[in-house]
Amino acid sequence: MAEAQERTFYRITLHQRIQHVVIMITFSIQVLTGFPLKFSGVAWSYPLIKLFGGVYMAGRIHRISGLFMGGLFAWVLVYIIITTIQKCLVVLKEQPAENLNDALTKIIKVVYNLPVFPRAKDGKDIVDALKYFFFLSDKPPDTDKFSWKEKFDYLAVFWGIPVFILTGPFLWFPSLFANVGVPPVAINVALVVHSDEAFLAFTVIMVWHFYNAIFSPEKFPFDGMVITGTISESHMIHEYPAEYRRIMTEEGEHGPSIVQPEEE
Amino acid sequence: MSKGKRGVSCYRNGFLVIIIFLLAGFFVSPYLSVNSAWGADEENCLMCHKHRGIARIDLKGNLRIFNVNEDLFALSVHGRVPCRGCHVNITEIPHKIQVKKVDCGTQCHKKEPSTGIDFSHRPVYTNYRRSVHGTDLQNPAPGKPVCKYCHQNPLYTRTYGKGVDVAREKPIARILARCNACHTNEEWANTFYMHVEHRLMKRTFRGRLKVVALCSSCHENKTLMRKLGLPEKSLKAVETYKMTYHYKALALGRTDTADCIDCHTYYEPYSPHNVHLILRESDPESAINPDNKGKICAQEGCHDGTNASGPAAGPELANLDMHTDFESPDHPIEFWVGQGFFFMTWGVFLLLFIWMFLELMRRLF
Repeated sequence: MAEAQERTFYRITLHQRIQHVVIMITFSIQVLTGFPLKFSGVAWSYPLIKLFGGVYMAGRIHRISGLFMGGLFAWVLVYIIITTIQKCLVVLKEQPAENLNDALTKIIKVVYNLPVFPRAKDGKDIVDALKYFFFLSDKPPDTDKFSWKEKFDYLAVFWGIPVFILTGPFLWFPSLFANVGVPPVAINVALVVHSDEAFLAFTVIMVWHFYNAIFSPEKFPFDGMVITGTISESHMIHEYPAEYRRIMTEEGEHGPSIVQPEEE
Repeated sequence: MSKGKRGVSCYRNGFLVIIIFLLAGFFVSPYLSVNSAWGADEENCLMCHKHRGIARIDLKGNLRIFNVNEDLFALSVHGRVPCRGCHVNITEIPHKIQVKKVDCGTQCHKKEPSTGIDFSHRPVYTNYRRSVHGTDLQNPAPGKPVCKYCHQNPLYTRTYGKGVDVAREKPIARILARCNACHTNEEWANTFYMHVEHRLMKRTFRGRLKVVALCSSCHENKTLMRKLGLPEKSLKAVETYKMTYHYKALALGRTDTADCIDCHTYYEPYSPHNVHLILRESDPESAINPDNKGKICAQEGCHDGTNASGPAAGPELANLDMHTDFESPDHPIEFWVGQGFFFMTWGVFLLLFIWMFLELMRRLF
C-alpha cells in the first residue's frame, strides 16, 4: 500500500448507467424500425423492415419501444427530482433558510449547480478550447464534472424524448385526436417534427457522440466509464482537471468519489 | 408390289399405320390442350385468326395484329364469350374490315347464370362515361383512358392470390383436384375457380401497389395532366401521396392501407361499379367532395375502430389533407417547421463536425 497505485474515481451512478443502457437499446430499436418508413424508397429499407417482420410488426415494435422510452424519461425525471431534493435538504440543513426568499434562493442555487445544468463556466470552457485548437493557448480547457460535451449530449436527449413522446401519439392515433378536435395541421406538423427530430438525433449520436465515446483516439476502442461508472486517475486529470482538484481538496483521499481499495 | 415374308405388302402396313395415327390424332387432339378456346369459338373464327401472321397496316401506318392466341384467350375472363359477342358487326366470312371499335357496353348474349339475363358491362360503362375519365370509345379524347387502358387483357390471364401460379398460367393442380373430385368437367371447374378466386381480394384483383402504379402511369405525367386542364394542386397528386404512410406501407410490403381508389371512389352502398365513378372534387356527388369525404376514413377495413389503427374516425379526420406537399410553402406551418429542422440539423452537424476536426488536429500536432 506504500506505492501510489492509480486511484479510481467513481463518476456515474448505477441509476445513470442503467438509464444509459435503456436509452441505447430503445434508441437503436426506434431508429431501426422507424427509418425504413422514413426512407421507404431506398434499397435497404425493405430488407430491414422484413427483418422486423414487415411494416405492421415493425410499427408495433416501434410503438412499444417508444412506450419504454417514455417510461425511461419518467424515471429520469423522478431521479433528477429526488436527487435535487436530496441536495436541497443537505444545503438547507447546513444553513437553515431565514425566510421563503432565502429558501428559494438556496434551491435555485442548488439547481443551477446541478452537474448537468449548463453554466457560465461551460461558455468559458468552450472559449478556452477554441483558443487551444487555434494554438492561441497551450492549456486545454479546465473542465469540471460533466464537461460541456456531456451536458450537451444529455440535454439533447432530454429535449428529444419529450419531442417524440408528444408527437408520437398523433401518428399512432390520428383518428382519436381528430375526433376530439385537434386541427389536422397538427397531425401533419407532428409527422414533420417526429421524422426530422429523429434524423437530427440520429446524426448527432452517430457522428458526435460516437466520436467522443468510442472513436476518439483517447477513448478508442471504448470508453468504459458508462458501464463501470469509474474512471482512472490519469484520465480524470487529463479530461476533468477541475473536478479532480475539487474532489481531492473537498473530499480527500477517502471521500465517496474515490473507489477505495478492498480491505485485505 | 413386293410381298414380305408373310405375304402382306409393307405398303399396306404403312398405310394402315398412317390411318391409325390420323384417326387417333383426330379424336385425341381436342384433349391435348386443356385450355383451347374451341368451346367459345363455335363459328371457327380461329381458322384464320389463329395464324401468327394475320395482320395489316392501316391508313395511319400502324401495324394492326389480328392474331388471337388461343391459350391466352381461353385463360382470360372473356374466354367463354363467343367472338361475335363483342365483335357484333361481323355478318359474313370473310368479313369486312372493322371500322367500329368494340363497344364494351354491348350486350353480349352470355347469360348471367343467377338471373338468366343477357350479361352486359353497361352499368359500368355508364359510370365510366359520367366520370372524369369518361370518353367516347369510338373516338376517344387524347389522354383519356379507354377500357382497355386499365383492363388490359394480359392482366385477366393472371389471377392474384395463392391459388394460381402466375408463371405457369394454370391453377395449381392440387387445388383443382379437389373441385374435380365432384365437378368432373375440368375446363368448367378451372374457369369457375379462376372467376371466383381472383375476385376474392378486396375490391379488385389488382394488388394495391399495382393500382397506384396504374393511376400514376398517367397522373405522374405532368405534361399530360396540364394539357387535360388539371389544377396545379392535382399535378402533385402522386408525389404527395407517396409522402404518406399509406403509400410507404404499401411500398414496404403491406397490402391493406389506402390506395387511390379506396378514397376517390368510396360510395355507399359499396359496389365495384363505383370504382369507375371518379368525379372531380367540385361535383356534389364526388367521393372527395368536402360534404361527402367525411365517410371515407371510417370505411370497413380502414379506420373503423375494429383494428389497431385506433378508434373509429369521425368526419374530421378527412380534413387531413392526404395530398399535403410538405416541400411547398402552400402549407406554411408544415413547410417552415420542416425548414427549421433542416437548418438545425445541418447547422448542428457542421458545427460538431468542425469541432471534431479541430480537436483531432490539435491532438495530432
